[in-house]
Amino acid sequence: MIRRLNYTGRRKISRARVTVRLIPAKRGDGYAFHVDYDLKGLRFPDTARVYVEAYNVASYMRFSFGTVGERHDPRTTDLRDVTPRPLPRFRLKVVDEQDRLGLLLGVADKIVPLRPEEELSHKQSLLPVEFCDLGDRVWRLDLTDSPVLELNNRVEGIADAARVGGSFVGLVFPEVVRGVLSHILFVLREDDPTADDSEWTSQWLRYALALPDVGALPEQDADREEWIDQAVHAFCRARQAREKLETTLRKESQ
Amino acid sequence: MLLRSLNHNGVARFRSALGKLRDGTSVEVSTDLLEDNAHTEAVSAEINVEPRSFVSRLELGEYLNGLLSALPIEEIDRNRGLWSWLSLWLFDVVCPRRADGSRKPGRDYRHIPDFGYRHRHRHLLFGPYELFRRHGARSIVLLAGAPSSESGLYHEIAGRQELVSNPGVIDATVRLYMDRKTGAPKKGAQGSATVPGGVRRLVHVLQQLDLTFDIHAMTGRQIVDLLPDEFDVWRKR
Repeated sequence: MIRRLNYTGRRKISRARVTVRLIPAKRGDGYAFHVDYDLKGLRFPDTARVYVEAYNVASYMRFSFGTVGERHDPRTTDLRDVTPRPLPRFRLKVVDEQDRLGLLLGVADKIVPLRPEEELSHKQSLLPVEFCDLGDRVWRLDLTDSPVLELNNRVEGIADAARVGGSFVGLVFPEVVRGVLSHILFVLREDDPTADDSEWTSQWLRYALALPDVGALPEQDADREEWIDQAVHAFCRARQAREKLETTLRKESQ
Repeated sequence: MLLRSLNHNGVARFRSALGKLRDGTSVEVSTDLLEDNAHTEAVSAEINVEPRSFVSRLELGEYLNGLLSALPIEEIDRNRGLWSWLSLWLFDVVCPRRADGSRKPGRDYRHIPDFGYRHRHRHLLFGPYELFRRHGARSIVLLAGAPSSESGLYHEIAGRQELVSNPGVIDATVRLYMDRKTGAPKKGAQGSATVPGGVRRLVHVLQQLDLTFDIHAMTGRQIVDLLPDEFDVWRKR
């Protein structure tokens, strides 16, 4: 990994200060977005410009929101050049344009957007959920960029089932945990939970390590398979996966 | 022939054929699958395709953008079956027979796309298609060369989302590394990381500058002007 040095005092803006919510686009079937941000107390000059960028592995768009002192929303925030999948991430930049070249004063990056109806408490979720047509499949773990749980929007009530249903906790989420950790360790070959606080790989490894009774990450691949199994087991225990599934099955059989 | 998409069985057959080419148990890939209902499915528009050749990846990218313009983007992006079908159809283009009669297909993701961010751009058709879709003819220096291989310039830039999405960076590669007489990359531009001002140094320097400057708002000329002295040799050539 290339270590990048910040010699110029550019400030990292906490993602807690920025909330992006996807909304239906004014034109077409895609998304637009709404952004709330709070730059107070960060001592940016009022004249510095604010930009929000939407991006994923396939596409990119940039929107101007005026200055730090005076917010001016763009006429449209339709993400017409950003593919809806993989789910776009957002970046907020504060730029000093007094000089010929824009000097970056602050940035909040890798902001996971909320869905139109999603609760604020889900902000920066480790596992954003995307509803799309998956044909005959019920769910799919998309690891194209960072992990996204895709749920088939043709299945009535699937959002509630995923949120509170015992079947998802019992049958789906453990395999999602396994899939994500396997991808990190065996495909991406990342294994440092402290490498970068803003990287989803580090966040997931820290999450797994914080589960009860999960030991330190072993060095060997063979031992890592076992470690993943341990993490999945710990996840099931912590989330009471079996009990919740049993409750759901009991209700269904009545 | 009408454009189609390989289904699950079709992709599996194609993958198996690539494996046989690699291990030398076969020297040919059967194109019979292309119109076989058991291995393919229709796409949403009737698109006629004719055999043809391409002099460069740029021409290939432009052609594919025109060819697929009748399909909705959701049917193109991340459609493994469609891109696998196209690879099989254009197999002589992306995996030409060598002088000794053999073919060297390389890794599967060059022909059957893997849309994960690490290998997405490595598909020999989807890569040029996507770069041309984003940047049009400005991709000239990144899409130089034969359709069967990707250049070092392409490899270094296209694999980095923050660079390949930036029109100024794409323009900067043209300004620095394109030989104006031939349209091809200047000799040595794709060399090792120790080549002063070469593309691998460009990537490293841009990643540093990105911490200080709003690179995405810059033109290619502004980016080139911002680069340190080691790039003079490319600015002046």
